[in-house]
Amino acid sequence: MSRLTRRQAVGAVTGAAAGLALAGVATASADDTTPAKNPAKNKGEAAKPKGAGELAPFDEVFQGRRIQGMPADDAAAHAHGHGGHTNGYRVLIDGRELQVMKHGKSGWSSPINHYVRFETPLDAARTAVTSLKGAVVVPFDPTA
Amino acid sequence: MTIRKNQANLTAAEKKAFVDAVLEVKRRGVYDEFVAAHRLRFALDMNTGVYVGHFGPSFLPWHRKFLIDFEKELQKVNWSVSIPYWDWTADNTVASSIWAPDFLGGTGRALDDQVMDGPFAYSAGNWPINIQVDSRPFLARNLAYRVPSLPTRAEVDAALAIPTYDSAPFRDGSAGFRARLEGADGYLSMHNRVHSWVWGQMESSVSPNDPVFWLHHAFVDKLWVDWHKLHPTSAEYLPAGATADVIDLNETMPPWTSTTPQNMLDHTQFYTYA
Repeated sequence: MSRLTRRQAVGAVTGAAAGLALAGVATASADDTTPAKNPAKNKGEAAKPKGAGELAPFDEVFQGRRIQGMPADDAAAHAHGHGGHTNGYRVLIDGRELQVMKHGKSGWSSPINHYVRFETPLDAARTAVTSLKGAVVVPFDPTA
Repeated sequence: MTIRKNQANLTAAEKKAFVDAVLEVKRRGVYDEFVAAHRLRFALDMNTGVYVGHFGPSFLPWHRKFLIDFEKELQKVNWSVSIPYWDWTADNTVASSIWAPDFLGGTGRALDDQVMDGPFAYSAGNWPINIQVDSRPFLARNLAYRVPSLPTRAEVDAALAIPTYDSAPFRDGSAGFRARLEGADGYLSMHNRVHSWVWGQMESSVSPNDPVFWLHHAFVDKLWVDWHKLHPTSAEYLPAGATADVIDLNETMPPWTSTTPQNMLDHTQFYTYA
């Protein structure tokens, strides 16, 4: 399974992915985790931080992509003046913003996975990585 | 009169006529306006928390109007074309004919989920993905990856048996037919599950990039019709009025300027289901 993961990561670079994915792929070669076909891991259930709360910051490499999450106040320093709706939390995939939205008790969503709800922004980020297969997020801000 | 048919019953000529009309609407640049409208609606709903297109009662009339508008564009190309519906309770495998190269094409390749066959394959040159939330320029699918199965007929029947259209608070988890059918009372179910089953763009806010979007939503719309036949004395739409942050029966559904759920209740003035 880990070989397959690596092949997918390499394929992402030779395929449609931009250079942004490249930095993550080097990490993926040394990373034997996160087989793409493991639904539990895709949903982030396997490695959920315990007791940290859904708004805990995170910074990890998942399937070769760097995913970061932080409460929006902290994120402002990284945001380069982006004025979009933050909903109190900011998620980045290889430095690009993945908009996440909280919907009351039903959980979080992102534009990449819009028909589901996630318990945490980390779950939303990991599933988006699984969806993208090396492609990069293109932020869409209707108020911009 | 527009008659929407089960896609499984279409002749080869009917499939070709539909595909050709879709490709022509795309070539004219009009198709992408629909994708952009869906992306915008979803983003605004998410940002404002006023759920117009999804996760609220107007999910069904909003998409009914969306499909009517799209069907009109198809018919400008070919008057005989209508939107077929995909009964995903019956045609529920990756081997179903809907995914054949003579119709919508199949699942994506492992490398990047790119659809490689059929009229909407990137290599065919007629289906660039222009309205995006990610950098993929090609139609992507990974059928049965995220969830292994599609909703069953028993699940549909259970939804149809619910006598109430929707109920307070008229949002994600509301009790009633609408939320059950949408799959918003337990995610990865029903309408939402079908989007996730197809994966690729269908899972995202630019889901109309996949032509199966229209066939999926035609079936969802047909189920609203079927539900009303089963419950003729139930209000076909709720809430009737005075509900904050919810589209009431006689309130306008953006982006349209004069379309209300009430305007959408009699579908037979626009089409019927075979």
